[in-house]
Formats: sequence, C-alpha cells, structure tokens
Amino acid sequence: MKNNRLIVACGSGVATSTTIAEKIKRMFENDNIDFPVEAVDYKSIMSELNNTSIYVYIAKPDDDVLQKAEELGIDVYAGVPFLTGMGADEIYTDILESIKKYKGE
Amino acid sequence: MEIFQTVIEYILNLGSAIFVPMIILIIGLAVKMSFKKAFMSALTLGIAFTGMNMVIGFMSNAVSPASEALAENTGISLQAIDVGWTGAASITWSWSYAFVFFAVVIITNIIMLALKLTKTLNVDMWNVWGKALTAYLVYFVSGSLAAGFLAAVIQIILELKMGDMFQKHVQDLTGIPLVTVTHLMNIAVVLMMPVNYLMDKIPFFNKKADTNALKAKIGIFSENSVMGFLIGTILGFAAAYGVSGSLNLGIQVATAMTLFPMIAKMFMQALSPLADAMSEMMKSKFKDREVFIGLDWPILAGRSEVWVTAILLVPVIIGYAIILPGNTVLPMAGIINYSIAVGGLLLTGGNLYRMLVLGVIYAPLYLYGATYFSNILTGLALDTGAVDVPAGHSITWSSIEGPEFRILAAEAAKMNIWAIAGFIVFIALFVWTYKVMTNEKVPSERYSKA
Repeated sequence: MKNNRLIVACGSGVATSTTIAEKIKRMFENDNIDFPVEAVDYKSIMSELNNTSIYVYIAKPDDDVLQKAEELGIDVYAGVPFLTGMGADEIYTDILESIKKYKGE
Repeated sequence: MEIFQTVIEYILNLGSAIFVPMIILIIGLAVKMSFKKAFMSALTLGIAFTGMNMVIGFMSNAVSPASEALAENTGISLQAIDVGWTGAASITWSWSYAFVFFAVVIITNIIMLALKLTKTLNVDMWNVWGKALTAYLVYFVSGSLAAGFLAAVIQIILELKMGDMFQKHVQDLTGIPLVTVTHLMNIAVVLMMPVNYLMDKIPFFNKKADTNALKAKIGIFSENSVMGFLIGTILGFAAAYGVSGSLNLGIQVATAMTLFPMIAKMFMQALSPLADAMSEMMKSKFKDREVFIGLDWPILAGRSEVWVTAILLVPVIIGYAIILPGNTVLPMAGIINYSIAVGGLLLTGGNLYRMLVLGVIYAPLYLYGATYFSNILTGLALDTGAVDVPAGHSITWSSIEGPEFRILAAEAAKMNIWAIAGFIVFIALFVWTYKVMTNEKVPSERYSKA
C-alpha cells in the first residue's frame, strides 16, 4: 500500500512549512484525525512526492512538479491561507475529504 | 536580593539546553497551554539545542583539520566555519533576551499600524530570531543593550516598510492577494538599487530569460546533501587529503548539511504553538481593517529565478572566499545566498541576467559581513554554551542577512562617526528605494519578452 501522508513543502523545509504542518497537525488532533503530517524541503520535492498522498504547497510549484503529483494521484492544496487565515477553513474541509478518500471511507 | 541573584545565576548556568526550554515551558503555561503540550514543546526545544550542538560539533571537527591543511598547503586561511542560518538561529535562541523580541516585534507592529505608518501586519513569528540577532550583535559590539533594542526596533520598522513597498510585487509574483514579505533579507535591494538603475539603461538587461528549463537541469545542486558532498569533497582535495579522505569529508559535510534543517525544524515545532497563538492574536486584533499579511520569504520560492541565481552563485562565492583578501569564511551550510536571490527577484522582477550581475557584484559584501560576524556568533555560542567551537576556529554564517544594516547599526552604536554617517546615507537610500518600488511596474508588466 502506498504511504499515506500529508506533506508541506517550503524553500528550506524548516520555517514556513513547519509552521503550517504543525498547524494542520493541531487541527487534526482536535478533530481526532490520525494522519501523518510532515514538513519537507521543496528542493527535494520530486523524491518526496513518491510516498505522499496530499501535498500542501507554499509557493506555486513548477509545472513538472504538478504534473508528477497528478500522475501519482496526489491531491494538491495551497498552504498560504493557513498563514493568512483567509480561506483556511475551506481548504481544511477539502483536505479532510481527501483523507476520507485515501483511507477508503 | 543576593539569594535572587544566586538563583538567576544558577538557572543561567544550567546552559541553554535547560534554560531556554524552561522559558518556553513558563510562557506556554502562562498562555494556558496544557502542561503536557508545554512540556513537550520545552523538551523538543532542549533536544533541538543539543542536536544542533552535536551537528555543529561534528561538522567543525570534520572540517577544521581540512581547513588547517588547506592553510598549510596553500596559505589560504579560512578558519571561520559556516553553520548557515539554521545554526545562527539556534545559537541566537540561546541568548537569554531572545524571547523578549516576540513582544518587541508585536508592540512595534501594533504601534505602526495604529499610527497608520504601515499597512503591513507581520505574522511571521519565526523570524523574531533575526531581530534578536541584530540586538545581540549591536550589544556585543557597542556594549549597550539599549542600543541593541533600538536597532531591533529600527529593523522591525524597515521590515514593515519593505512589506508595504513590495506588496504589489509579491502579489504579482505569487498570485496571492494581500500578502507580502517582511523578511530582513530583502534589505539587500537598497544597495543594489544604483546598479539596477544603471542596468535599466542597457538593452540587454531589459529582456527576460526562460529559467524554468535551466532550473530543471541544475536543480539537483540545490539539495543540501548534494551541495554538502561537493563542497566537502572539493575541500578535501584542496587540503591534499587524497581520494578516500576527500570522499569521506564529502560525506561528512553532506551529513551535517542534511541534518541542519532537520534539527532546525525541531526549533520550529517547539516554538510553533507559541508563535501561532501570537500571530492569531495579531490577526484578530486587525481583522476589520484591510492589512497586508507579512510572511516569511518562501512564498516566493516557486520562482525558478531564485534557485537558478542561488545555485549559479555558489562557485562564485567559493571563488570569492578564496581570493578576497581578509576573508576568513569557509562557505558551507550557508552557501545558498537567499538575500541576493530573493532580494534580486523583488528588485528586478525576476530578470535572471540582472540577478546574476547583482549577485556577482554584491556577494563579497556577505563574505566580509560574515567575517565581521564570526567573532560575535562564536562569542555568543561559547557564552551560552550553545555550541562548542574547536580552539583556533570560529563559526559564522556566510550569507548573513542584512550585513550592511547590521554592521552599520553596530558600529554607529559604538559612536563610530563614519558608521553614523553611513547609517544615515543608508536610511536615505532606503527611502529612495521605497519611492522607486512603490512606483515601479509589477514584474509581469516589466521588460519585453525575449
């Protein structure tokens, strides 16, 4: 079975991505959702995509990255709303839908 | 009173891996986190400090003999080992005043917004460490803690003004409405302005290059592991280590450079509940007013020009490190110069040729800034016990952000008359930059397509 996880990628895999990853983790915790969340380095995104089911980006990814995500059937979401607060709830709801899909519920 | 002093001293002497987590535990409980969560944050922070100490120690032990051998073989003495921004950040968090800057950042921002002096609300609570670093640097050089705090406040104001002036450009480059970037690194544009102005007059610099294809080809070099392996191996050969020794050094440097961000991530995890609570508080305070949300720079990282510039500058920076007289910095973990790449992106609207020219011209500024900075960072590391540095060596951050601002502020606080004059000129240039950037066309409307 494919590795189920949500990744958040930023330029270094340290600051911005971890901020969002931790935020999503806390939201999952509050909603009793058991799903791994990781912050990764965008510079390694092509290899990171291989064992991922949901990808949250900070900067709009390159076309080849998006193409690979599509080939692998990865759902891709924008992460910046989690920082600004504008539209974060809608994206979070969509992420929950994706998780249901991956968990086969 | 004496007992009080003894207690404080005892706590400080416990070392940063105990002392700083204790602060975060107390702050966590004060903002009503559950004990379990606050304790986990504190523990993670202690682990992050200790892990960072291990990796920096590992890297300096591996690299120091090679840099000594290099000095013996070639006469090139590069004794300041580059721990990059992740190393610099962890050492800065070990400073006992570092956490106070959360308050300084928030209060300064609220005052600026209330007085309508800015439209930017900076919610990037991670880069609070950058303000603490400036304050420490100024304090170390001038001996005045008040001057350190003042410099940090000036930095916060400049960051907010940068947030204002770059907003439409950031929106154009990212396609995200009402966000901006408030990172100090972009202050690089101030000194870049005159050169960019000259390039406006040269037709070659007024067309756009296609960088996506190039990025696909050279992108692999931006991975920490690959970059570390190459730099380590080359250093090994330069130190006459032979093939096996050089390859091993390559692996060791690659190991350190791969582990740095992993450990830095733990700092972020530990600080995230606190940082998040503060940024939520800020947002709710100004939710009825249209503000630009100030974020960290990675929202611009999708632009391939950033990476192509940063990677192509790596050999240039190594070359400079070798030939520049007076440079003591051995570039490693901080070899990717984001200040030039991201500042250049915003200033030129993503014109690769201009960004590269700016990089070649301004890279020495960072190496000299890092040379200046090495005593200070080493002093802080030894002082707080955050990191052990081998004798005869120092640590630094080769791509230190805002070196011109930080050094001018520190020297001005020391009442160096040239630095005071320089600081005034710098602020005047900043004002000019502000005017130019607010009037400049957004990136997608600049230049003709090539």
